[in-house]
Amino acid sequence: MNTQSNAVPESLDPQRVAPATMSPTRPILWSIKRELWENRSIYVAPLAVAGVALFAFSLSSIAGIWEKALGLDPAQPQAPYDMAAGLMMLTGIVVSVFYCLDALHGERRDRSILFWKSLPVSDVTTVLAKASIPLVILPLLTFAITVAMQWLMLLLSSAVVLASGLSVATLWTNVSFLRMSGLLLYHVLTAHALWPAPIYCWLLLVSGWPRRATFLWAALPLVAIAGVEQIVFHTWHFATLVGSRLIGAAPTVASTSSDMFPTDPMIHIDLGRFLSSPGLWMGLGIAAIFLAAAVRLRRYQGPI
Amino acid sequence: MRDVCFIADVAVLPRWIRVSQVIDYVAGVHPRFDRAKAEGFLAKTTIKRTSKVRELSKGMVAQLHLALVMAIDARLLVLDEPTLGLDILYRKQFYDSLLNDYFDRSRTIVVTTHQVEEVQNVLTDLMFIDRGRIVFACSMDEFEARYLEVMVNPEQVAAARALKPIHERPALGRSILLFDLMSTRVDRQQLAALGDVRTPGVADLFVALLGSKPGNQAGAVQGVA
Repeated sequence: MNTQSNAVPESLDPQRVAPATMSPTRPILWSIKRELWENRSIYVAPLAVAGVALFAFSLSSIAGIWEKALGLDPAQPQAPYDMAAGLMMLTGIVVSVFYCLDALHGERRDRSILFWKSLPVSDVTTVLAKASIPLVILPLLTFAITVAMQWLMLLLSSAVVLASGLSVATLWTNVSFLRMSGLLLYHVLTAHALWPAPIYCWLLLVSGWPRRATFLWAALPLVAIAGVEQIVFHTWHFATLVGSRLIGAAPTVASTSSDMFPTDPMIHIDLGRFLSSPGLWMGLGIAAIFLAAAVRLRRYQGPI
Repeated sequence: MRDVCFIADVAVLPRWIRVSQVIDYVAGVHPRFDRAKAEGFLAKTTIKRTSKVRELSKGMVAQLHLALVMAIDARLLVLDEPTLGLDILYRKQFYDSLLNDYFDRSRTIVVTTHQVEEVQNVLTDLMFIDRGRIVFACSMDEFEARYLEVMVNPEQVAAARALKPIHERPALGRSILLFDLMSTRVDRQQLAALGDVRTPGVADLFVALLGSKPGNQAGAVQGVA
C-alpha cells in the first residue's frame, strides 16, 4: 500500500501523510507476545517443574538415595537425564492442553474480545498466534529449559562425584550431551508439535464455541466416539489414536521398539519415515480444518 | 479500514494487562497509533504505568481506553454505547475530553447510544434507528429550528392542543406540548403566547416519534466531515 497515492488531497497537514504501513509479521509477533503476557503459566510452569525436579535430583544425588542419579551406572548413563526430559515433555503437554482450552474462551469470558477486535489484528492472525503457542513456542521452550536443566544436573553430579574423590571423566564421557540435545530438539518438534497438532487445534476450536465448560465440550465427543466404537466393534482404535497423538508416540525414528526413549543414543532418526507417514499429513490436514473453523467462529463470536 | 476505528465499550480492557503493556501492544499492531500522544494523555491522569487494568477503577479504565483511542489517527471513530456502565462523572469527563482533545473538525465521530441526553450538546447530526431502520435523520440546526416545546398552564391546554402538537406529557400540574413547526405551520410567536417555549430534549422527541412502538433503539449520530 502506498500512502502517497491514496493520501487525501485536502489534508495538507504533514502528519496526515505519515506512512501507515507496517511489516505484516509485526501483528503476529505482538499477538504471540501478548499471549505470553496473559498466560504466564506457559513459561512459569515448565520453570517451576524444572526447579522442583532439580531440587529432587540434587537431594537424591547428594544423599546417594538413587545411585543412577549420578549417571554412573554404565548400563543406563542417561537415565536421570531421560527422566528429566520426560518430565518436561509431560509438563509441556499439560500446559498446552490447558492453554488451548482457554485460548478463545478467556477473551470472551472477560469481554476483552471487544478490545482485541477493535484493533487492526485479523482473526486469522489471532488464531495463528494462539495456535503457535502449543505448536511452536512450548516445544522450543520445553527444549531450552530441558537442556539447561540437564546441564545443571551434570554440574551437580560432577560436584558430588568430585567431592567423593572420584574422577568425573566417566560422567562426562558416558553421555553425549550434544547428541542428546539434538535428538531432543528433533523429538519435541516432530512428536510434540507436528504429530499432536490435530489434538491441540481441536481444543483451540472448542475453546471458541461453548459458553462454559470447554473441557467437557472438548472431551465428550471424543469419549462418545470411543464409547460407540467399543460397543459396536469392541475395539479401542479411536481412543488409542487420540492417546498416542497426545503423548507424542510418533513414527519419528527407525526403531520399531517403542520402549526406547527418544534421546536414547542407540536410536536412529528417520525423518523420511515421519514425513512419508500418511498419519502426519492427515493429522495436519485435520488441524488446518480445525484452525479454519476456529477463525470463522471467532469472527462471529462476541463476549459471553 | 485504516482510517476507521471502532470501539464497542470503553470500560473493557483485558483485566490482566499492564498499562505499559497495552500501550506497547497497540503501538505494535496499530500503524496509526501515536505513542507520545497516548503518553501525554495518560500523564494528565493518575494512572500508573505499572498498574494492571484490574487494579484500576472503572473510570480509570475508560480514561486509559480513551487515551489509546485518541492517540489513533482515525478519520472515522465509531463508538458503540461508549459510556454504558460508567457513572455520571466519568460520562461527562469522557465526552469533554473527546471533544476538547480529539475532535478537530476534520474527523467524524459516530456515537450510538441510548443515553441521548448526555450527547445532545455535542451532536452535529442526529439519527434515530428503530430495529435497524433509520426512522429519523436531521442536523442539530434543523432539529432546533424545527421542534419546539411549550409548557402550558391547564387553562390554555385546549387552545394549545388545537395547534396539533405531536406529543403531550404532564409536568408538575402543567402540560408540556411538543410541536413540529414544519408540519403544523404554527410559529414561535403563537406558541410563546401559550407559555414558556424551549428547545426540546432529543430524548423527548425520540419518545414522541417512537414511543408507541416497543423495542426501539436510539441511535444518535454526530458527524462532521
